[in-house]
Amino acid sequence: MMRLALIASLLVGCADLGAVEDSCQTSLEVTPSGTPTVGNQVRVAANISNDVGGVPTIEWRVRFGQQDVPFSGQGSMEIAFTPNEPGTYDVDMTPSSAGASCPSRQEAINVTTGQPGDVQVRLRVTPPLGVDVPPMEQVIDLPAGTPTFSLGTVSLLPGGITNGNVGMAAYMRFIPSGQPEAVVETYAASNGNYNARVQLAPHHIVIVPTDPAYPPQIFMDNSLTGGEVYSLSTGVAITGTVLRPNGTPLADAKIQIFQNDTSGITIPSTIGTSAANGTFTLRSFTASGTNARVVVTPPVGSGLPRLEASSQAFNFTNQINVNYGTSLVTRNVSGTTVTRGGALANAKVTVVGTLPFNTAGTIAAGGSAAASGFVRVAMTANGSGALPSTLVPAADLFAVVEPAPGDAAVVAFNTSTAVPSTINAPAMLSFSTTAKLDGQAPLGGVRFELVPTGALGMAGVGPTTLYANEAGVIAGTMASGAIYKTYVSDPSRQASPRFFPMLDAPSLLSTLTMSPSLVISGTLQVQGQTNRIEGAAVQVFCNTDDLFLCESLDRDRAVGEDASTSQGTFEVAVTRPM
Amino acid sequence: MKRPSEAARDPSYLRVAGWLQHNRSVQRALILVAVLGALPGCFYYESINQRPAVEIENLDSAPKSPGDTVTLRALMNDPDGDFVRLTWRAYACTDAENFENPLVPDSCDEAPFYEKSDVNVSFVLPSLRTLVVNGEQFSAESAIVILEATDEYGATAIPRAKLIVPILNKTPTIQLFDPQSTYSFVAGTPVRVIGKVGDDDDGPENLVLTWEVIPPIATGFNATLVDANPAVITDEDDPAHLQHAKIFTANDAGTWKVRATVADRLGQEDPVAHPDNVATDDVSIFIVEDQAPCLAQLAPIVPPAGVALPVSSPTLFRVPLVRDDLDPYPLVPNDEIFRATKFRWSVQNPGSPTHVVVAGASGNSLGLDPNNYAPGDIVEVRVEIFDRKNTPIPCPDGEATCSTISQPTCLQRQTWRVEVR
Repeated sequence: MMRLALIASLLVGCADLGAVEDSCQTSLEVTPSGTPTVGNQVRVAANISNDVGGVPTIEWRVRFGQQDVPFSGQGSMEIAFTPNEPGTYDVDMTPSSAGASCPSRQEAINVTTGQPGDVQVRLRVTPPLGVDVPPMEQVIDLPAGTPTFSLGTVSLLPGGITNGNVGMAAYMRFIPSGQPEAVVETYAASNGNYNARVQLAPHHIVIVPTDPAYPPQIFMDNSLTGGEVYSLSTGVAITGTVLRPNGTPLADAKIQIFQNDTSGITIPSTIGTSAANGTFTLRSFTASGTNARVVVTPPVGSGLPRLEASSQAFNFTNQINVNYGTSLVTRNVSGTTVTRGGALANAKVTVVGTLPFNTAGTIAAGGSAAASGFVRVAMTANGSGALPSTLVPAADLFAVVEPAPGDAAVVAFNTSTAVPSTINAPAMLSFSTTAKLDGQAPLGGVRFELVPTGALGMAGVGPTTLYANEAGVIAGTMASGAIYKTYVSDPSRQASPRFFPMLDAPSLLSTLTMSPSLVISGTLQVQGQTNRIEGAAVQVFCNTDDLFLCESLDRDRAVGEDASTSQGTFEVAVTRPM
Repeated sequence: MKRPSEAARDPSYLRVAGWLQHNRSVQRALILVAVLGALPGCFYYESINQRPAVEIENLDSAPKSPGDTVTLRALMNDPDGDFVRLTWRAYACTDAENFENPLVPDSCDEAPFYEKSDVNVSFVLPSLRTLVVNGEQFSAESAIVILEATDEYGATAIPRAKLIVPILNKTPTIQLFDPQSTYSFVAGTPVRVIGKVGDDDDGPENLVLTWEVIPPIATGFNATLVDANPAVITDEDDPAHLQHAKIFTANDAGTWKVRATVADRLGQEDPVAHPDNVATDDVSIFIVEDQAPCLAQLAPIVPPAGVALPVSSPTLFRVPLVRDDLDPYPLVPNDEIFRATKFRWSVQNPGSPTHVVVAGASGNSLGLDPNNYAPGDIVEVRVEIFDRKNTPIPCPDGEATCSTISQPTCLQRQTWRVEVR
């Protein structure tokens, strides 16, 4: 019986040798390599190895969108076509030969105008739970004048598990080198243990202990192989004093410093609170970081501004001396009435503004710097619309009045010489605009997000999101006197996102012209695996370019996003560089 | 050549004699031959022509259906060795046994569907008779083949050879594929049902397909079943079949059944008499209620209970992904049924007893600027999501998370506890 089995297995082995189904390998080679350009011939050659079936017959197909593209060389090993439009051309190659099964191949060829786009975006992929891959981020150079751009297969590296101990409960942020925004966050438990899946790359690890006595700290680790132990210290004690404009100590002020480490990552200190005599102590990971910034937040009710000063000359081995400007005075707004036609009962009022340079105060730590003064004093009018007894700095300020949720007005509120007796809050300003693709076809469903900035933003008023109706009409209201950062995007992916850094109701035109988008596509896959990744968040963010003010929150606000399909594919619409 | 004496004994001679009695020209020719033969002194005459005989040999006796080929051969014998001309005729019948029966006049077509004069013939059996009654064409259930043989003198084989070929109508086929839904089989959304039909003899285009929807319970459930666009799909690689596509939309959850019945021509004429000419298939469709949306990804990380997320710079709290059958985020573009998740954001500022909704903030993100707070402040940022059902979130304000379906893996509320640092 065993002999029979052996013979049978040998026969099977011979049969396998004859079938060689898995041994045939195919690939496509595109000439010119890189990115072909419109009007120039593109050649695609099939490379087939180990095809025991002899010279195969090859069926080719070239498509641009849904249209077939004419080409020469059908049936042969190489085809040629000349693209006359920029975009993504899909080439399918299906070989067939007797006795062998060679896999077909697809290639997405990006054809550009040849003009440089000069626009970069960041593609961030965050896999879903259950897919053991850390987030990844890569920078993409966008071509100019191209409607589509395929990234082909986007392979995600599986990374590895790092675990260890930091000795206490803490928030941890792993920042991979080269991808500073593809961070992985986790928490160390109360016993200090943690674990996280991270990229197999050098990382900076920012650790913020839950215990406020310990300052946030940063570590560099070249190989997160597991079992790391990070010893957290209490850092460096830094002391100082805070004095009022009249030179008396200011108690209950909160003082914090921010310093960059050698890699440029900003690390805050603990929060120092001034005592009755104005002295404070805080702790920082170092006393000699770069780009040092000191922030002093006065106690509520003091009427003083928040001070901020940055200086390369700061050296925190020296005491920090915070001195409010001697010319700074405060005024009581008690009795000021908030009106809109009549008194606005129970309106929320936030007085905001920035003090003139060199008036707010100075901060010294070794070197000295003039501090900027930021005002944000919140109060609520009584049933008669009268403001309560509240101090604010004497300055050219704004009052942000919120009679009700979703209703706001920005009103000049100059307390330089005296407190105005009334704050007349105009009603919300209605607006209507029609989103049109290329200024022609109405675009329904366009998302129009108004994010308050300026005084309204300083008052902490939230964003408003509106959607265009089927006729492309976006109608809503904006606060009088307010300006908004405005983000416009088209969920249908036809139009490029638009960004208005400062928009108010009067300046909004009746037509909101949207230009055609550039759709970035690709397929997600874990490197070394054939399975596609479904349910990943695929987001595109601005990078350094001249189309977006890519800073602060805008670096985290996706200009285009999608969720990968069950086939791992995604499509994200971004601004088409022209 | 037969001798007269032999002819006298030959029974066929008697038949020839009878035939001569009716054929005067032949009689005259024979008399002339006899007179001329007597003149030189001897008697001579030509023998009397005899009829050929013919039979049909069926070279393939396997059961036949419309479209099948019948192959026959003529077995003939002419006693005189004369050339015999053959005439094949095949008629489509409902009942070939009653061919030319005056009592059953429409048993077979009057005109043959096949005629030929060769010894070996083959022809394809039709599926239909030419007979049309009230605009309706009848199926061919049998065929009768008539073979006549005539010699060069016009003598015809009697009787004619006959062969009855039953035409067995093939059974139509139907296969319902697994139903397909882009919308997770949610009640009120379309489900695509495809039935693949075929019939080897009648052809897929001549079948009649009827659909039936069987609800989970007998009454009170509503559903529609309408043609998809296109309603009929052809496959160049499979011309023997057609795919009929329907759009099924049920308004209620439950296990529905869609049944499709296909009948070929015979099955349509009399399904009771021809049960094999009707085929049925059905498929179960599990319709579910619209499921609750689930927060699938959040950024930044949500701190564990009792712990705060340290925030020292402006931070965008966002929901990159919501998992939902009909209202996911990001929105599935260019689709009439999918809609986007609705977001509700609220903030609990220091000193505030509850979370206060940020009016108008219905996008997937909310920024928080720590400069609007004092260092050390604890602020809670909360997001809640809703699909088109707008199911209220029942949990008290104090609960950081909430699941309307009591599933910890599917939350509609999440709260970031933030410490301004």
